[in-house]
Amino acid sequence: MNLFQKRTGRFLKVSAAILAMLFALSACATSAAPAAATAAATEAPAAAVTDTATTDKGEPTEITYFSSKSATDETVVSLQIVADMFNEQGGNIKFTVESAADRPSYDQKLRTMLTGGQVPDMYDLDPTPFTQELADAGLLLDMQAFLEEIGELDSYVPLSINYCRMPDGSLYTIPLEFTTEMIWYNTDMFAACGLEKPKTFDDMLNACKVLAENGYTPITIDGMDGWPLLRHLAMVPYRLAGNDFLNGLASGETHMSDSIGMQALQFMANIGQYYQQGFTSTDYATAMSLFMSGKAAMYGIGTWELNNFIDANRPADLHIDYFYMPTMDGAVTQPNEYWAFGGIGLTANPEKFDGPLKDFFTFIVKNYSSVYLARQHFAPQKVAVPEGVEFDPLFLKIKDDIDSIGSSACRPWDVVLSADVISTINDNLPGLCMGEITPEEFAKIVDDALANN
Amino acid sequence: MNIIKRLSQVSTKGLYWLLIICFLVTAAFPILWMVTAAFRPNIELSSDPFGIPSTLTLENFKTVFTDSNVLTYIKNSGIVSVVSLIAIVLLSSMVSFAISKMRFKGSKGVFRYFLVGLTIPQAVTLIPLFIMFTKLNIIDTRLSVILPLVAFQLPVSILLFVNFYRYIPDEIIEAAVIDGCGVYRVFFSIIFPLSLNTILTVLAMNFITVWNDYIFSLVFINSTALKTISIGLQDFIGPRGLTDWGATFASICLSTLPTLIIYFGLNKKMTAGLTLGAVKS
Amino acid sequence: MRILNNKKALAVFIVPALLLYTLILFVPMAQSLYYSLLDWNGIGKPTFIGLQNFIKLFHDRVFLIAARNNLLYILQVVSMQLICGFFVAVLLLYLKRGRGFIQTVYYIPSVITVIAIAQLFRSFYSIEPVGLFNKIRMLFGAEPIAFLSNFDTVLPAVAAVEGWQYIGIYMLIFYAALSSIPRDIEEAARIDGATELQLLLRIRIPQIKNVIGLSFILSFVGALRGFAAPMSLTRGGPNNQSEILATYMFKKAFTSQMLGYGSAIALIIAALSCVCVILISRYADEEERS
Repeated sequence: MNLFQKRTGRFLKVSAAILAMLFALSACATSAAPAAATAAATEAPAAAVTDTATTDKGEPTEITYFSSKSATDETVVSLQIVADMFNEQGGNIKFTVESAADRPSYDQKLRTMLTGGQVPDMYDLDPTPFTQELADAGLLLDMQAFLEEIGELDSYVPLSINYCRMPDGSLYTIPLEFTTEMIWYNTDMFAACGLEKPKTFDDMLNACKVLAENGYTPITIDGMDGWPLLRHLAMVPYRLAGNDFLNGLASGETHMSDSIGMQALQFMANIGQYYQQGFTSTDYATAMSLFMSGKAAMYGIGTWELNNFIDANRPADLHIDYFYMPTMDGAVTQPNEYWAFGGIGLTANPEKFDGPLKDFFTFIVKNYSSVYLARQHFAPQKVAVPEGVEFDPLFLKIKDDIDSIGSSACRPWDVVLSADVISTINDNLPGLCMGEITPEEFAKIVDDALANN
Repeated sequence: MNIIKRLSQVSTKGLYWLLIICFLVTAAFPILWMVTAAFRPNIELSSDPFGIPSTLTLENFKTVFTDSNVLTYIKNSGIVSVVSLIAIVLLSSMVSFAISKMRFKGSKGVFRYFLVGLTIPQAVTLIPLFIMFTKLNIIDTRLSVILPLVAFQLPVSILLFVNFYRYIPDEIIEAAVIDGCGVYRVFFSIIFPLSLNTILTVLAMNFITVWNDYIFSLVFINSTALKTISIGLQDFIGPRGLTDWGATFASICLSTLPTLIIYFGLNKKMTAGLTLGAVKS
Repeated sequence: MRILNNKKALAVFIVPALLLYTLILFVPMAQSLYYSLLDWNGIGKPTFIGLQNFIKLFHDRVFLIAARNNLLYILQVVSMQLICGFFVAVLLLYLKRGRGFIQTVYYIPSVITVIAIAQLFRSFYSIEPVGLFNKIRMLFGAEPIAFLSNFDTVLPAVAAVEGWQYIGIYMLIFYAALSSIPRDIEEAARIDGATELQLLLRIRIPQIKNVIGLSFILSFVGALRGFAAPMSLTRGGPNNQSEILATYMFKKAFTSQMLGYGSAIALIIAALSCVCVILISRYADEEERS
């Protein structure tokens, strides 16, 4: 075969391939169109389209929930169950969950969507300064008014619903959970070192010291996600001043370099040396598995992970107990005041808040908590423990704690301070914990960021 | 004398093989580890990932096939890639032909204009593009990912095509013109087939970027039905950060398979295009 | 070639690409220019503040750290890709069989999405549980290091991800170039008594100068776009030790919601990158001349 024949042969093969691709292209063009139409149609009722199982009630209303949690998260699963219940009882909706799997992606996605004027039917919001901006721009539903209208405001556990309130008291979201956070510890390791359940910060630091001397890793922590370290930072100020120090940072009345701030930083510098090695790049799963596999003595996590600690699921050789936020001399908050949240709240698009969406939302308020509690989770509303469900003793023990919880709780820093300040704090905390920068240097960096915002 | 020479030959050969094997291991081991990890249970992966695997399981693949949308994501990545690649090849080859063969005033300027794009970071264009696409109502469609991908890959593709076209002698074109070919005939019937290797190079290099796109899919696509694989991998990350590593690795293996199959075929042709004419004769 | 100078055909050939390119790359850049003069969070009303963002930038401690890190990052990525790629390509020249197999193996990492590779490396670098590199260190009796936490090692560790991932591509490019050098030139040199090393330095490298230049540009540009690996491995931490310009810009624009400031950073990145355009222009000019 001469060169020319070879070339022609190849040419034919290539053009065949290109033709094939062009056919595919035209197929794609037509199939891309309906996809665009479905995606663009956020109006209810959906016009033409696809696979909605219609009943004799007519076309179902499409309600999309843009969630910061994955579809397997317990709150989302419970919402799906509630949606099914709603349809069984005469409703006619198609409830779809779209999720951005991690919180930073969700925040960024939501921001770009809202900037572009695309408001989801239902979505998640924390009571952050960003939410305040949305409220100022008139984009949010007045949840307080709605709950009063349907008479359900008092059904909520105060700490849970108040968690969702903005600093000025306005309410734009409803809580989907009630979680508390505590520090779990390995009782075998503590016993081996002759340690008791820590009550004060000094107890905790001392326990760390003794554990380290005996060759144990005192604390395992997720250093990648920011908020676990932030929890440790928040403890001392909460004990010494309640939420006032934190609120003062936001309003400019207090500074990180104040006495309270410096004590908190000193605590971080002290406790940081007891974190596991490489903590800054340890992710959530790894941090937890270090504790669960018996390689670390203490691990702070909240009740959303309770399932891992109950007898049924816990490794047989792991013996644990927990303690709440330690206290100190001069504390103004009680030992029964610690971390308690309503979790990230649920809100709806006020522009579409009538007809099916409003009905569905009302239904959620009236039915969600029973469903959630029955699945062995702490619900945001006061509901009776359902009959016939067997609850784990650990669950019941914590439920008792919840029933005797104080009237205030520690507010998480990443909800009160602006995103840029939190970003700066998160960026620099690891260095403080590892002793690479001093508390004074850290305080200056943070105060500069606070001043800038 | 002979023995010393033999010894030095043997030791050079030994060193050579040692180096080859070292490099092979550094390239292959991570991939091998990941493939085996896809078959290991999650408990093992979280506690002792680099020990000798003790159990092998198919549970991760089961999770991927039954519990997830990974197959949809692979399909989406495929569609986006194919359409983008066709557009890239067509547009860049045509522009390059104009720049290098159709003499016109400012052809050098146009070439430089396109090269500037090589240095613009994608992240910079995100928000303006999002607002623009929202107004055009193409957000959450495949088009919103395809358009930026094509545009950003034009500079490097044009660079490759122009580099190649310079080595096509003008005589071939002149001969065709004398034979009565118009511009379009010249391009599609003569130049295009000649540049097969370069086309394959362009396809291969752009395929990697387009298939692995993360930033555009992340910002412009919301619906699960349209997500691509690089975003879809995050499905296995639970709330607050918990990751199902086994399933993640299993999906990565699945999503790499199609591209591997393509590369087995195009291996030689790809680099031939890049170096054609680049060696001084 | 006057027959090819057909205005209508010219338009058809150039305009679609030109239009798309301008709309997607340059129009947003212009808008970014506008945003960089604002103090804006994306939702509320923007405030015009002129050049204040840029002034702030030059006093911004983190920006300067990120700029320095970015240079080191690019340096490391380009070196790894080109040097290792070239070295292995040369080695492969002497291999009689199995070349195709090795080339394919080297290719695979580059087709895997970079997020996946980053996670892979995260497990390699880990200290608790013990990762691959620490296992090796311990084998040699050295103490394990927390690569991604240690202030000194984090930047090189992060840069190694992209550096490693694309070695295969450059190896293939260099190999193809090296193997297409005409045999007679090499034979002639050998007959003249050149050692393999001399052959490499005096004949092979000069012969493929253009390919080396092109590869350098491709590698540099790729490293400049580096973002996903540092972002997903360390988010620029700890304490900005692995922060590069792109991650800093992203954090300011999307996490801190300072779109004006973020746009200013983006423009600086683009401006610094423009220096490359000048270099590329010179390369294109050289091509014209030869």
